[in-house]
Amino acid sequence: MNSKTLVIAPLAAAAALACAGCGDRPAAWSQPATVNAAYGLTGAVAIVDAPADRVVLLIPGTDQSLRLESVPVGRHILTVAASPKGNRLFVLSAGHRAPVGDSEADEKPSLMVIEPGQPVQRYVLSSLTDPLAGLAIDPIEERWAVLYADTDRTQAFVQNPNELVFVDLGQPPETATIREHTLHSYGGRPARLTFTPALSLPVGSRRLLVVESNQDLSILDLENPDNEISIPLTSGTDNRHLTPAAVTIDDGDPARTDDARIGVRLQNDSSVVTLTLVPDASPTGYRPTVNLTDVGGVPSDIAFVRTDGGLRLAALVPARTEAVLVDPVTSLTTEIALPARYQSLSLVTGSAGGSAVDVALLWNGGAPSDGVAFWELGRTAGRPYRSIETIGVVAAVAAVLPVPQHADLRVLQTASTNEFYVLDLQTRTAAPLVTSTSAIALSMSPIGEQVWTFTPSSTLVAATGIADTHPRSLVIERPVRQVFEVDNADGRFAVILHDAGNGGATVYDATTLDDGTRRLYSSVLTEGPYQ
Amino acid sequence: VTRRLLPLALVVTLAACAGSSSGASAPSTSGGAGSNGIGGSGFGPGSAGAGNIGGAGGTGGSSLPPETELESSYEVPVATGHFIWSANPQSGRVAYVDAATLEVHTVEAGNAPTTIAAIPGADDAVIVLNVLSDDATILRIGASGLSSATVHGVAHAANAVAVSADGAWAIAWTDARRVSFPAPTAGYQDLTVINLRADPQSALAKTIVAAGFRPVSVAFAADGTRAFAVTEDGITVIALGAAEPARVIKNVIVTDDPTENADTRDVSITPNGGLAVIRREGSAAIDVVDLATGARSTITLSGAVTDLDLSSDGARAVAVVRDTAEVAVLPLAAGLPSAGAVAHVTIAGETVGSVALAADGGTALLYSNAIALERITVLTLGATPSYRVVKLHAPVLSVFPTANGASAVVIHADTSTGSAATGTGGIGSAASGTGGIGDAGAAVTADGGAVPPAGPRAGHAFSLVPLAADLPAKIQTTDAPPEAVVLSPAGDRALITAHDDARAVYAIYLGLFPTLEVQRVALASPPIAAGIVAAAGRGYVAQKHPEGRLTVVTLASGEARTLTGFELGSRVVDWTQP
Repeated sequence: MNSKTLVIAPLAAAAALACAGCGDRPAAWSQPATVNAAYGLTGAVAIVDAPADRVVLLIPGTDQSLRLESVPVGRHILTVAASPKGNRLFVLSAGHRAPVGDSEADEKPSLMVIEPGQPVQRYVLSSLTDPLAGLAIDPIEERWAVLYADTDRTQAFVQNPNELVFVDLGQPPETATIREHTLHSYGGRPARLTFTPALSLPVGSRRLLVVESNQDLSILDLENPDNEISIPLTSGTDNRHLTPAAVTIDDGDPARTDDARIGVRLQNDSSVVTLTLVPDASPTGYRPTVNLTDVGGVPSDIAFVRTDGGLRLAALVPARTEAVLVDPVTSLTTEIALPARYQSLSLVTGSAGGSAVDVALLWNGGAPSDGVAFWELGRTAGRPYRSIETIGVVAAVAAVLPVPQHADLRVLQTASTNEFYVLDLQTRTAAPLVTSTSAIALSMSPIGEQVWTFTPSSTLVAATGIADTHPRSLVIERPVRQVFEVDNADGRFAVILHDAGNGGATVYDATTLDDGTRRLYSSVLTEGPYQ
Repeated sequence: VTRRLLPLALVVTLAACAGSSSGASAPSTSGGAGSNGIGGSGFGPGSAGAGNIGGAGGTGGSSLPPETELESSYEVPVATGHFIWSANPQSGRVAYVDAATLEVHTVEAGNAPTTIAAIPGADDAVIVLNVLSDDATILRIGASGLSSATVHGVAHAANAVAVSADGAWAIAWTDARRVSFPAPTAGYQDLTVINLRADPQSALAKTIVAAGFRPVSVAFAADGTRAFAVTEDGITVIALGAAEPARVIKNVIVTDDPTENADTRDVSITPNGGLAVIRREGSAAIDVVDLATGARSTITLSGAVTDLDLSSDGARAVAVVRDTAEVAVLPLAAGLPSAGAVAHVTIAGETVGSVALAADGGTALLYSNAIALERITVLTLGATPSYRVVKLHAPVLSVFPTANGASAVVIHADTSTGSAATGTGGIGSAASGTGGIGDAGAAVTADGGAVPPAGPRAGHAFSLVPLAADLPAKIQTTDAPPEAVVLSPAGDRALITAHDDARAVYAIYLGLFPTLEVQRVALASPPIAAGIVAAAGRGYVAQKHPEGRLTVVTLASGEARTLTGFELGSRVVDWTQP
């Protein structure tokens, strides 16, 4: 559901077992102090210390000092997720149910919201005995948290895989509405949740939750999940199960209330599904009309795009080395030959000269020489054959990282190669940066000043200025786990986390990168709750 | 379902007596009241081996292969005034699409709804045969919305339904030609007569009567008092009345030869149910039978009659004799015609073996697809018939005149191998997969050595032909063989579907008259039926797709929209609805 979500159930279970066998001493004393996961938040780095049921905030300050804040969270952490904006950390805990003779008090399942510098919020899930382990956070407003059954883990003796729990984070914990809703199922179970932006619907502006199962879709109104519409993807006349692979959303003309659309690509079919939300007399106020369009092969990525011919659903079809534009109104298709079997597309409109029409960046071609290509969607109606422009990146791109506060730049992470690129969308240039090893990891400065490059478990760390692409290496004594740049009131700092030594950190001044002023901290976890 | 006729198997033309779902019937160009849908006309050589060269009559000896009847190989798609109806046997549902808004709805029918026919009238209504539950569902959209009624106890194995022009009667019957390997003793003689205006649960709603052996067509008299079933035993006449059950009142014998092969008979019935016109393959004689009295008149022409067509009003029949290029115009308005009343025209210097009459009855288009003939002859049926020859640029396969006779669509034959005039197996033997897109009339690569099929087949071109003025025709190359032609009632638009499975090329061509502009719309899957909803100004092409697919073309602009997945749409559930 969220790439930043950490699942800690096995550790929680281990902690629970340890607790049962060691008398009155807290179980955390019997667990190694290791970093389970770490997240870069606004102004701090958060380390999850699951055996101790806490999150440790590392807050760098003047002269590379490091202040530690231990934030107790609910017992038995199930899942941790950072907010998409990076300012909050969500910790879902199972709580504690004391057996006879257990002196530890009962604790209800809870969802903790941790934001550096702000009071911790704890949403008690009092109606649940066995909370669902999956956690999806609304990436747009961060208003909604939805708990769902993680198909990989069964928390309870009996679990309803189609149950969802909606937590309205826009309300304070004391008054927050926590709603449970069971999806009407045709046999499937949720696999992916997508929060839509506000859509202009016949009943007004609404935000919806699109739930993909292995064989159907459900659309729910986030304000009222009982307003649910199920869309089977099989006709029921045969045993075919078409499985959704991803969805994309478009509100259409904001002045219209009948043209919001959901595009769906399928894992096992060459059709893309377009759902148009049209007015309906039902209490829901709208209904989806279903339309399928064959794009000639199983698409690897889709997106609604604005072209000179109007709105289109763009689909990449690697098997045919082409992109297909589907007119969602007429279902007419336009095929555009591509120079490589690109599997991913990212819209870079506004950064690459696009205005009323979109520009897409195509990447993940698979072959080393495929690089990336710009797709000018303003030429698709008149001259589609001239709408593709390749960039001489001679490496297979595995990820395209946005650069904060630099809309016209992207960092291209390559696949298993010892280089990465800084792509300028305006000039359409790609500056290569070569590393001495492969398997590098990248992280971005929160203000977009530099890109951090490191090799996990090694001592190799470097910062490369985005503006001048000037690399500077750091002196690191211990193997690196992760690198974060933290920007807070005291300055900008690089916090390089180490696994060794019960969790350690090297703090650099991220502005000067002065080796002489760096400081190394050890045992940041053992200092935490027991100081 | 696309079906192709057996070459010169018993071909029956019912001159617009009724709307019908039978692909063997002529398109209901006259239309019933309130029925604005128009079916598609397909063509194709069908399977090989009819072996009718020389024929059963006494005028054989022609070296040419028989003319191939090509007008109606599609199951006629169903459109009513405002809706397009499509049955799905697998799901048991019928989808109906508002042709104006393209809103799709579905409704449950019975078990395996397969055959569907429009019911003429003020409402949009259809009758659906459910072949596994042996019943029929009557769906009607009126001011109060959709209503559904079921008539139980339809004779088993019914696979065709004919509806009277006044919308009062339907007859469900079994077309043995659609049955795979019918038992020799299977007569399929049960006809289920359904009174569409009676309470479906009443005793008078349905009556099963027995017609002759193996009906091939069913028609109604215009006044709705009689129905006719053309069978191997003759023409069974059924009396219809609201107050009493339908009953068979007579069987009109159409031959004096009890051993005559019924498969070689081509029987047409006039819309008023007064006369039957019978042509026999290889015979120079045309029989006209008075269905009320059984009296018969025989008109003998100069040679074997190779084709006969009846005007939509039943006022005249036009017969052609290929060997002598003779055209005979038989007046029928006054009853049995005398030999002296028949007008004879010889088309000097031309080979004419087939005839296609415009719906207005004023123009007959004469052609032959037994040879590679790049011409058609336009015969104006005035008091003194006159004709002119129109030059084309590729051999003719079939001809489709517009209702007003002002224009025509000509489908050209495949010339990939050999000569169409050899009479040794017809035109073309190119495998579909080897045919490329070439210039008009250009040969496609033959699959050398392959056994040629028996009849002609469509090539990769059609022509739009002005008939009202002596202007050149426009030939259009296609990237797949044309398959079906649908003409708008006003005669200003033509939809031509094209279909090549081997190369997965499917398309619709929209032809505009009188400008002769052609627009192409690619289809994503094979077309299976086409039609026009005149009231909405739209044409449509139903296509093969497990979830249902329909491409709708706005005839004025050529804009096409494809709807796919109405089976899925029918399964969308809004859980707030009770």
